[in-house]
Amino acid sequence: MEPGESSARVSRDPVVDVVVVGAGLVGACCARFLLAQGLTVAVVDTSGPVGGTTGSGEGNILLSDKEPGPELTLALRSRQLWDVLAAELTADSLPATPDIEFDAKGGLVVVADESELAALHAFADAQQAAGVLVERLGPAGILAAEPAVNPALAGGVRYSQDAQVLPMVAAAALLAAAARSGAHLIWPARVTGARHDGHGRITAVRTTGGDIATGTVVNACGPWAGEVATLLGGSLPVRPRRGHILVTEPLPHRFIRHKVYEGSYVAAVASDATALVGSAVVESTRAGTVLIGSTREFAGWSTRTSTAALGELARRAIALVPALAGVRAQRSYLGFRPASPDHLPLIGPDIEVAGLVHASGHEGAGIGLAPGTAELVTAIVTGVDGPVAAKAFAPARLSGVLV
Amino acid sequence: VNAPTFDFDGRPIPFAEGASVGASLWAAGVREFRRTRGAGTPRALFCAVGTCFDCLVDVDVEDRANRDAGTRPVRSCRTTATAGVRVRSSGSVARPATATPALSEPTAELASRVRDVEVAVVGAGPAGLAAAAAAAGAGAEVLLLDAAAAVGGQIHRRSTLVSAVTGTERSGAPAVEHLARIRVVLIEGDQQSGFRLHLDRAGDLPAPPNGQAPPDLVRARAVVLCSGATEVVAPFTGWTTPGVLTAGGMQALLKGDGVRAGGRVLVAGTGPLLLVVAAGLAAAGARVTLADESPAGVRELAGVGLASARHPATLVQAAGLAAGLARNRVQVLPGWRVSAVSRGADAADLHVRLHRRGTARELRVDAVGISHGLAPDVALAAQVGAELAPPDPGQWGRRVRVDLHAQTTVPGLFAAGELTGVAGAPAAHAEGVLAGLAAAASVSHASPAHALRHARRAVEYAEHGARMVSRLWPAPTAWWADLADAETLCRCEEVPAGSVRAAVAAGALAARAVKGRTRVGMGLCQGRVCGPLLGQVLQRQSLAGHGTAAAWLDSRPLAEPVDLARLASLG
Repeated sequence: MEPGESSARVSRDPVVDVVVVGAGLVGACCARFLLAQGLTVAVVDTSGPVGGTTGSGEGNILLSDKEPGPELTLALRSRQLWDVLAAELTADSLPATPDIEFDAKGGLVVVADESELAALHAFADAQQAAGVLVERLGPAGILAAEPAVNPALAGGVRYSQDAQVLPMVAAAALLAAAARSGAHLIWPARVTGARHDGHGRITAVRTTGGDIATGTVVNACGPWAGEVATLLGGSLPVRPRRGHILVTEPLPHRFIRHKVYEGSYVAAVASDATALVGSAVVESTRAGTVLIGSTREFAGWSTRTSTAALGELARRAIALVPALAGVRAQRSYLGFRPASPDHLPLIGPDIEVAGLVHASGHEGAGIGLAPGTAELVTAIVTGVDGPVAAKAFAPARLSGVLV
Repeated sequence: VNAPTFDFDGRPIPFAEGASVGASLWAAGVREFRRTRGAGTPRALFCAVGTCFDCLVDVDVEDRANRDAGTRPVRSCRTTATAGVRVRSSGSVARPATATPALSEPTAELASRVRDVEVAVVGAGPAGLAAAAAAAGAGAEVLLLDAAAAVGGQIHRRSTLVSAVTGTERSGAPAVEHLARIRVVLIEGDQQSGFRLHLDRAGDLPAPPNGQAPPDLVRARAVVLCSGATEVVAPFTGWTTPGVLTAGGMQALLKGDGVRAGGRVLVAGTGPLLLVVAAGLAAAGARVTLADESPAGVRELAGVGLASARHPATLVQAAGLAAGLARNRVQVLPGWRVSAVSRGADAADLHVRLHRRGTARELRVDAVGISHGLAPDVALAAQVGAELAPPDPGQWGRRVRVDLHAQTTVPGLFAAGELTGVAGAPAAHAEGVLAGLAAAASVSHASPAHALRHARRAVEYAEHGARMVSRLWPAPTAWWADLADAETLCRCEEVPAGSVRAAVAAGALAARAVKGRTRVGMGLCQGRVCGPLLGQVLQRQSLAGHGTAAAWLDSRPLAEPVDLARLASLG
């Protein structure tokens, strides 16, 4: 197959070392890291590149919302890798390919009153001890950093490492590069099952585009990873957690300079609520539009826009940046985050099926955590120790099976 | 007495009472309303009916304390000119006024202005008027909602139904309540819990501080959607040049604002609308050339009329249109299509290149009115979850699927007119009657069975006639192969055709994936202009195992841009 070419049919049954299922950013990163180890790779997707969660988010690469622990460790490693990836993708990019718009704009977490500020600063102290760069700001400090925010806010913390990327463009660039390195890109093709040997180990992936012989499958299907795990004979407890985003009309360049969000966002990320949880994240894009995220709710796979969610986003955004009251929203969109039961990613071997490795459960952090996840997956597949310990992310942690 | 004026970049612009800012600027010879943010190319009126956002101009906005005036880009074609107002060529970004800070736990101010009705009819064109009249005639309480100040719809602005609806032909109270200058931004709900229609004022100006407030929310037991269709223009070199308008836009300027688009006008493309527009402009004194790129088109129209013994009305209409062209000395160029338009030394002087098979010819005109048909406007129907059907051969865009009684796949939600498949005003009228009767019946105002049967037969008859005419002007498909890589496909975000080709070649098969990688359809119009074009391109890739639903950008969770302050009141 020519680089960049896609086909609904695999001309002859290919044999590869690893089949990556899912052409979102996590799958695209996995393909890149596996190829770098000299493995042969096929990427399979039901629709094409970035048809799912990667195309429905904001492109957050955040340290600010992570409490010290394994996820922050993975986030710090991922953040280092993003610097490398961004530089490589920019250097490699072909003429006429869009820019991935990697922007280390920094995050600004703000709170409304003194008691919240004390709690936020204590949280930042712990993050700082874990290696996160933080800058504590009072009311004057946040206004100087971000003139559009509500002057009545009590203060906040600036996280200079928080960054932003266009995830769809980044994933497409990674996949194009993977194709140039010899990866098979196979879509639209739906995984329908797997073949196993006498010991239950995977020997081939069955798809609507034909069978692909392989010993290893990486399940990078985001919120669909549970369904795909089942099709492959395994299991993964991933649920879709829905989110809405509002997009405004274009405003002046860098009208909002950071990713600005309410301190309550951290609590919302950690919550288990089924009902709607809102907390505003507001930021300008390079196109001038302001993205207003994000809600969290368990609403199945419903794609019906919730007016309650839009109302909540608009109210919180206006409270954060009052001038937005007179600005128009030009569109809204929604997507599904892959939620795990304990809010930690699910990265590692299936608890039963040998040869099946999962890379999902990132909830809203998948874009930021993708490179670290890919590095971890590659370490697991090649049987070496990576820079981040795998144990905390192993799906087996949830079933009481020791690893 | 001097005409009243408003100020545009320091220049006084006279206007006629009720005319839009855009039409007044056009009449005053302004051909550059703004420059684009990206390439810095000039833009002016294009669709002239509020679909595209080419005609943006900036107006001042002030906060509650009248400090720190910001500016807001508004569609000049949707903004009524008023004396003394200051308008500037648009920077195409909103500069919000600094609002008075308020920091309290955000809560929804529950919509206080709620109207409960039995049947809500959205859109007051031929289908909506017929539906409202039929539902009211069957005894239902009906509310008719429309963005325009007066009923009649976008193209066919006068109708005998207007008086029927407004009640002047009936004794007693008006049969239908009509809410003008209202748009529906969101519909939700179902038959069991009732439908909720979230409304906003039409137009782009911020809410007046103490203006009379229309209802925020309409709760209806049944809804008839008559949201019509959007004109489609298949791109060619120079199609973003000011002076190139949609043919329907020219008609709206002429009939709505009393402004002739130019003294020398080329009307081109495909479809019966071209004949109406050409005859109208010629009757208003313009020198009109009509280039019909369809192989059959104008030449066979009379033949179709003659061949359709079942459709004497079509014959009369065809003969009338042909006579109108002849009477007004419209030069007809059958089989010619526009391949390029460029600006002459004077901005109002356009050089047009036309092609027919191997041959080319040039033409110099003041304005080009172009149309390649209509695409159903299905956004509101999609919000409520109504199933959409892929386009029929020769048509643009998906349509709302309806059953034999005009009901969509959502019980209690009916649809009539162009959004169920473009078939023209007579079919829209017949479908409206059927939908109105059926909607009334769904809220327990049963009509006699023979009335429904009669309405059903009228729909079949009208749709048959429409198919005979539409066959003459199929949606063109060669435009995509002919379009240069550097030419714009998405007017809002200035996305060149080549970027879309590259994304498709790299495997982006779904419209959403192409959009995410190229920004096509991501601008203010939300794909209303380029969406049907991209959908046709992606659908023609027709990849095995790939659903056609992913090809389209026609589902907009917000039907139009809406103030965040308005969204903040949603519960």
